Amino acid sequence: MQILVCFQPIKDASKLSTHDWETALEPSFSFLPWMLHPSDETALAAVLHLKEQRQAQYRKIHCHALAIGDSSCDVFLRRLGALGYDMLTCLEAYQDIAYHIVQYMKQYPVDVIVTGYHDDGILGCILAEKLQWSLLSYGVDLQTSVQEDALSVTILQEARKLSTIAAKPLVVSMKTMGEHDRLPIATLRQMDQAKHMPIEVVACMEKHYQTEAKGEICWSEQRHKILLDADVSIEEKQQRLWQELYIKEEKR
Amino acid sequence: MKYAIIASNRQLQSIHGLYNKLLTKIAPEDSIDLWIIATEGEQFEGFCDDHQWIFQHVHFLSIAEYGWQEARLDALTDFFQQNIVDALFFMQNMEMTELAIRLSIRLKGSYAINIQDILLHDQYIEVQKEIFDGRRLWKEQHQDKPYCIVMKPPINENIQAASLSSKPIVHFHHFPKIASQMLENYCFMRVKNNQGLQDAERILLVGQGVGSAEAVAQLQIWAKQQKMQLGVTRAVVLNGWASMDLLIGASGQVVSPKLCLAVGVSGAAPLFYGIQNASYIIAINTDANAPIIEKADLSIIHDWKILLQPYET
Repeated sequence: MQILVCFQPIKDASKLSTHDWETALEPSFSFLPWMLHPSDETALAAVLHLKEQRQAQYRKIHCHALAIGDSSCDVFLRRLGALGYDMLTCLEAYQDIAYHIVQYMKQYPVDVIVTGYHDDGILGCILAEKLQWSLLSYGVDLQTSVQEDALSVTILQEARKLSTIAAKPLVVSMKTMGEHDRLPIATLRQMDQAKHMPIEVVACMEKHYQTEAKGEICWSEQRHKILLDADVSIEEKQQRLWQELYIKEEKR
Repeated sequence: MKYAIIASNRQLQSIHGLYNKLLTKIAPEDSIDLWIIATEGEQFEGFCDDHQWIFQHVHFLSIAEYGWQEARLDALTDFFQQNIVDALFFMQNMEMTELAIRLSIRLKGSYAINIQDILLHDQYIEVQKEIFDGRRLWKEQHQDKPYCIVMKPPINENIQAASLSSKPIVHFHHFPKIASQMLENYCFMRVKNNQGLQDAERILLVGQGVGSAEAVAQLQIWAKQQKMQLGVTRAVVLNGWASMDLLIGASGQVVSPKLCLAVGVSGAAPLFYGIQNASYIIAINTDANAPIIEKADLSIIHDWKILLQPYET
């Protein structure tokens, strides 16, 4: 079974100070650290878990990690190589990512694509439609199935889980649920071995658009807020707090 | 021009708000139809007794198997390829978002998600949404029809639209058997670690700022006394002060309580994603510069230990 995991490192925007948000319309994220999106990390960890399961059953599995971005992805790819991913690729695409992934897959066909469920699962939806594959959104766990050409995927539907046996080819969009959601820490020995793993870099310069959506960023009004002074007594604060709640409820 | 609203039968309570919003955007001669996505067995008459008739045409789409988008997509694609509309408006939730994106690709249209406001023009649509936790607005234009727009529920959902004098024409579309080739078997399971956060009306959200595991335990007692559910931030979980199933945020659960009391929470973007649907957010923090102070509806800069004292038994 060939599994491709697509992930895109993101900037940790929570590290940006309030001052930066207030001063610039488009604050610079360039100095912020890169991080894995929690859903991407869940997807990567779930596939590693699946690989362990299949190897324990002496069944073949090939895990391919595909990072979308530039050389900043190398550190994540090296870590994944150390943890057991068989093939590492960096896809240098910045727009119309799904199209470039589909193009890339013509060289390396796979049975299952796993992505993280972020940005409302757009990537998974577009991949499923472009490839005309089935899609399972909100996956929370991957397990091996008795059938060789199928995968057991647990998905979340409203407040309950749904365990499915899904036949490949398949796109799974994974969401963090607290189970197998963190990548393990690689040992120094594993990291040392992964140093020599090749990382394939694919530059995608081609633009593929029907009509490009034009967009602009604007200032937004902050949510309604009431800031209480530190000088006011606690009793008064409590009174005002409940008054505000009462008024809000009354208005509703 | 012709438009359609697509909603699941659980979202019908919010239909009036969205309909009223759209009424202000469209021309008087334009028409809006309603599509209700249901599962086989769910009755149409049940919820229509209390529902005002504001649409001329209501389509009730009933699918045999539970929640499979493939079947819904096939049915909607077939219909809208034959009956061309200018825009499809979806009520926001996970299923509808997926439906909108995939349907737009099949119909060769364009999609936009989490949209708060729209401006309809003859040749294009301008949509507007909040980004970066509401710090900025993003406006973009789409030209390819049909526009598949996933709308956030309007804030005032209780607005009642003027009802039509005549009853709507109801069209039933039933798909008893679908070809779900991908699924060989499936079964439902109870979510093991659900602590009731999803359904809780009042949540006490505890952050790293409270200082220790003992403080979290103390606040848990207070929450129990106040009949609130306890939720925690990622930092609290990573410190080992609370279990993972209490985690709220982008990497945990997304909750929508009526009241969220955030104590010792800085208000980082991933966390705020988890509580952004809360009707009312109260923040208690000693740090006046914490981002949560600006995001909350009511902020108290004070020590929580003085404000939140458990009753003595």
